[in-house]
Amino acid sequence: MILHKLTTSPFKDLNLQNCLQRLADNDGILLSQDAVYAVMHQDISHKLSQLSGKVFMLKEDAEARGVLVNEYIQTINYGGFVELTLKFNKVVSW
Amino acid sequence: MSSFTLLVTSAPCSEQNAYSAYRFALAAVQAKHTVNGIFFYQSGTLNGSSLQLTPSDEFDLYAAWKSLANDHKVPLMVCVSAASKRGIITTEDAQDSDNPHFSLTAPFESVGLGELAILMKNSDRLVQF
Amino acid sequence: MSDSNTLAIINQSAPYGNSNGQESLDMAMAMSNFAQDVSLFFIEDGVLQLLSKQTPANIDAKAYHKTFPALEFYDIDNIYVCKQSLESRGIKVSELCVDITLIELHELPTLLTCQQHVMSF
Repeated sequence: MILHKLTTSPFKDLNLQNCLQRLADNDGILLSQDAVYAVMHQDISHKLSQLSGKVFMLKEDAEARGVLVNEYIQTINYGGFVELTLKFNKVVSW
Repeated sequence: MSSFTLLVTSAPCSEQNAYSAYRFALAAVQAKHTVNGIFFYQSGTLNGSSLQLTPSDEFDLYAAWKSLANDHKVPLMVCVSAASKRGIITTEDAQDSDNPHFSLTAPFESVGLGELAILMKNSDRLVQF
Repeated sequence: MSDSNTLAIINQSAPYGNSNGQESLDMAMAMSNFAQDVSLFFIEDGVLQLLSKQTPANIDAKAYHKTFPALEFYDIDNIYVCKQSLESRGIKVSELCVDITLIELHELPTLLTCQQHVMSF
């Protein structure tokens, strides 16, 4: 039950790819900051779409960047971000 | 209600992390959670510099941190060893090292890493930015 | 469930391009001093910190890797290294400067389950 918090673009580094390789069944992913660009990455976006219910995106960061949200990703605001960290047992920041 | 420790390891201005941490802290206190403390480590200690002169058309994160501390009683703790080597020192540190300048003032506090251990022990979640 | 006062520190950065490795080690030793039960994880480029043959003085960097073998005296005995991260970099366990426990890629989340808090550098 780990929430993986991503902050960098998957076009820049492998943080999200590595995280996906290690993801446990109960884990979740939060795309924040430049990690919201993950939805523009074809391969990764496809992988994320298969993890329905486990992928979250920070609304403020997506809107700030003009990133459109896919239907398989749940958008949350900062209040939702706070509650999300409590739904999972711990948070790992990549 | 739950309790949080935030660990900020990124500098202001160059990265978004510290701004995200501030918004998270604000959202947490607004939801009636307790933020036991914000602990600044690595380049995150630069958030504590009182010498930041923010252009008037940019968000003043330093002022925002101070309001958070004053309005919501959130301690702002700066790791002394990580801060000192980055030029973030209190007036006492400055006197001890015969330095004419200092850059760390209240509500930011200069503390050792032991304070972080205490914060973490008493927090439901540690979130790093 | 997680045990109280346990801390996992994940190291994923190569040693000298930024201060993550050195300041992570400072953090680990301090936390252990303050009664935290610290486990260290080295994954991705973080495994490069553990190579024995390093001479960072050449680039004005601190030889902090020499501290790794002494961590047992700081009560830090759990040092986990990702097998796949070593393999993809062509590194053998015999090239590392400290005794470690090899873990598989997918074991990390499981091992983190019993930790109260996690930091990453």
